[in-house]
Amino acid sequence: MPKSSAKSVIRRRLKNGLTVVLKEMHAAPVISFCVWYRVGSRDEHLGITGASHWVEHMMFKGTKRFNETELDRLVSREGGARNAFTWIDFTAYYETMPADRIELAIDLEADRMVNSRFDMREVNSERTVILNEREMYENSPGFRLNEEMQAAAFRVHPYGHEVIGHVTDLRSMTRDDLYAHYQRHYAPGNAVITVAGDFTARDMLAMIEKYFSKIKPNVATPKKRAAVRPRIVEPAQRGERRIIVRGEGETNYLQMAFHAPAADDVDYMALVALDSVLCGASGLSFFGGGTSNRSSRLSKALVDGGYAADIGGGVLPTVDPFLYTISGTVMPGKSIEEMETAIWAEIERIRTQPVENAELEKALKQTRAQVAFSTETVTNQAFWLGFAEIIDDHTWFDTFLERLAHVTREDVQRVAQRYLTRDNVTVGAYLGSGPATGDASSDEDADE
Amino acid sequence: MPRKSTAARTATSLPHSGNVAVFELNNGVRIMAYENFSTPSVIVSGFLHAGARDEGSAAGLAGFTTDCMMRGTRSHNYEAIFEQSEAVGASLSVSSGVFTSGFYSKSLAEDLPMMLDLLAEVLREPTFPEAEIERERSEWLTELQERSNSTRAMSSLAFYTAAYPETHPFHRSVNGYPETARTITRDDVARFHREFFAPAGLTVVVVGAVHANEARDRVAAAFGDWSATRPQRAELPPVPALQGHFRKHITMAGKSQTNVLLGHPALPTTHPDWLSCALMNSILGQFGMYGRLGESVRKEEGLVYYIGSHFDGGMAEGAWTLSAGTNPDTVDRVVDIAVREMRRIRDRKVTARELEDNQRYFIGSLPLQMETNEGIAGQIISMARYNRPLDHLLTYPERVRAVTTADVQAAARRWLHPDDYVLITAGK
Repeated sequence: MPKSSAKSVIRRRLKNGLTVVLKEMHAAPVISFCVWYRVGSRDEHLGITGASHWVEHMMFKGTKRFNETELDRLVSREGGARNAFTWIDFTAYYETMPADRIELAIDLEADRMVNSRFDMREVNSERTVILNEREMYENSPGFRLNEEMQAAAFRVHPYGHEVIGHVTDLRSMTRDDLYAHYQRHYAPGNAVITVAGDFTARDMLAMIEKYFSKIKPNVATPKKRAAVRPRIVEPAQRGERRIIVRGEGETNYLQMAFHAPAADDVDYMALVALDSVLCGASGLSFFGGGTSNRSSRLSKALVDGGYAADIGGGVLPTVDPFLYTISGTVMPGKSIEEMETAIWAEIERIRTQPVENAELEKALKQTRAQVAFSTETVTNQAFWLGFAEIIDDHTWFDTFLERLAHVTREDVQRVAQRYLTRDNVTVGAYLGSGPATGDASSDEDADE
Repeated sequence: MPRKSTAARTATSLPHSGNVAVFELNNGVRIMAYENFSTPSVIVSGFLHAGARDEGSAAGLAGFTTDCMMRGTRSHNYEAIFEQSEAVGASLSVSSGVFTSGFYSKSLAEDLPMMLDLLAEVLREPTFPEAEIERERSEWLTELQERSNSTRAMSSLAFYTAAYPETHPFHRSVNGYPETARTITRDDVARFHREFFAPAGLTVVVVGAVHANEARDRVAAAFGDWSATRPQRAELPPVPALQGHFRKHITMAGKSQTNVLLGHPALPTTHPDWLSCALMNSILGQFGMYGRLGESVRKEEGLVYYIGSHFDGGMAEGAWTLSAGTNPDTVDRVVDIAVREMRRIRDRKVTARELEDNQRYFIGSLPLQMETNEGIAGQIISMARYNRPLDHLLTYPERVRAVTTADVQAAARRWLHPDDYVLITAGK
């Protein structure tokens, strides 16, 4: 195969409004097929919080053609991997399969785009599965702190609730609520398909058309995207917000969240550079991973300084303005106030003095490596193409490095001054109330 | 140009004797190199024979030693080690398990020489500066504090303590305990490194955009003149079979969900029954969405978000465990169904269709595991660790297909014990 085809990305729009983005990669005989819907927790209101995630669960419960067990079985027995994720801005489904078996994934994704059953009994058994999922998250101090932080940072925008939803809504939502959410948002015009791997674009496009072109736009889906997904504006914050979460355990955690621009904003890349200097390059580690950040400014000041056991930052790319977050674990023996003071000192420094050119060069080199690593697998490549298409357009990821290279020291200082302010921050503390582990009881059944 | 079929291409991308170059140095270092120029990265990964088995009663000493090795070497202090690797977006880590200590470096190919030199220094010439050891100790203590607030981690600790005799290394946590974390000294760490880190059996796997001969020359330059030796290991004590049920609940106030961990000692990866066991366990607790356990506990009754089962394997009698998270009110129901499924797979043969589905999954998912340099390196390390022939993966489909429903039932009868297990619950 000519190497030159490996880089090119092809974007098409089918007559029914479905967007298709394809990237050929011939290093290994595998293909990742991903379907994205422009629906996430940002498209929910009180009463149906968690609906997008619950719909995602119902998408695995089968259609008239494929029942649940059959869906799992068919993909697995072909050696495939499949999963889905619901995020604040989107819901995405993927199958990564041996290249010669990918038609199965295309067939079943087309089928469940409009034919998922939402059987009443299954809605109810999935209700307890999701409540269990929520309880699993609640076991973690990090989740509890995050949930309160988002609620405090957003008082209007639905980014203020967790993707999994509020317990009260999870208990009260009905099958019809979920089905209406599905019908409104699951339609070709509200979806993007991204495919990366060992195929030829022409054949892949033909196969996608074979299964998807017959799907009609849903009557419940408004014609204009702006109507499906209206613009929601969070009012500007006018003063510091503080929250405290108390819970079990001996460890304290600190989080600071600043309102930050959306992924398509001109300031976004400067914040990525700023985050790299403060906390290490982490912008591309949606799946985790990335490198250590021991040589970053905050790690040197906080971890080497003995205030924190770890520290990290992140400015997630989002459709609407979200948050730049700094979070860390307080070192035992140090107070949360001492840790916060040390972070503000570093923020003050980056606001008042331009960063060094060497620091920007380092951010660029780190990111170059991360970009290279993140596109080694077809699953990651399909993921980034789709993520980019949802938050902006598919070139967002491919031009990421180029745009980062254009960020100047002045840009970094400017966004530090603009966003990292006392009036724009929510500070949250998780305060451990004491050892989580109490008595242990045991018994031995000798008779069995 | 016509494309080769998927099957033919898979066979050439799997690591095997035709594409893995193996070199042995005089001091016992083994180099295994696999070239892959389709990505710009290089992985250097492998292991040497030093681990928690060697630490005696100082639980966590091996792990603390590897953590402290990253805190300064003869020519790089802590800051320089991380500055140098992070500046190029590379990762470097060393860590310790029960039998071996492992290392991992990932970088762009252009940075390989620098990363290899750094790795060699970390493994051979750590200086263990006192102040850095104390910093590392504080981080260790924080991690242990966080561990005590995790239902999963606390169940796991209690499980291994109950399931393995005190004389066996699996009885203790490789991460140690607050008592050992506070008392281990710099001398203990330096002595452990001096005594047990040696080149004999050191396996260095290099996968990525570098020619095999270059990989060999660079690894030889980094490790060829290392002449340390380590003492022989004693035999491991036997692991007695469990008798009856042992059940323990760890009360963790404030937790919404209870973690359930049920299991018992089982078999090493090198055991001839391993493949039958792996297929049996896949049917029981992995295939599709958590196998039969997922069907009955999650899909039918909605009692859990996750449930699954797993053979640890490894170099000794690793455990078989089943784990799940559920509401405190439904713990007993989950355990009942789980034990019922253990009995069912022992009492009745799995269906031919179930076995065939799983065989196809085992064989068909290989290309997905070989997609990254990490995945390929992982397979080569497994072959080295368990002394498997280099063509292990080429014969794998044939071996998987040879397993019968009778083999699966025999494996369940021999290696699953629904009457003799340890059950730990941690939660409210």
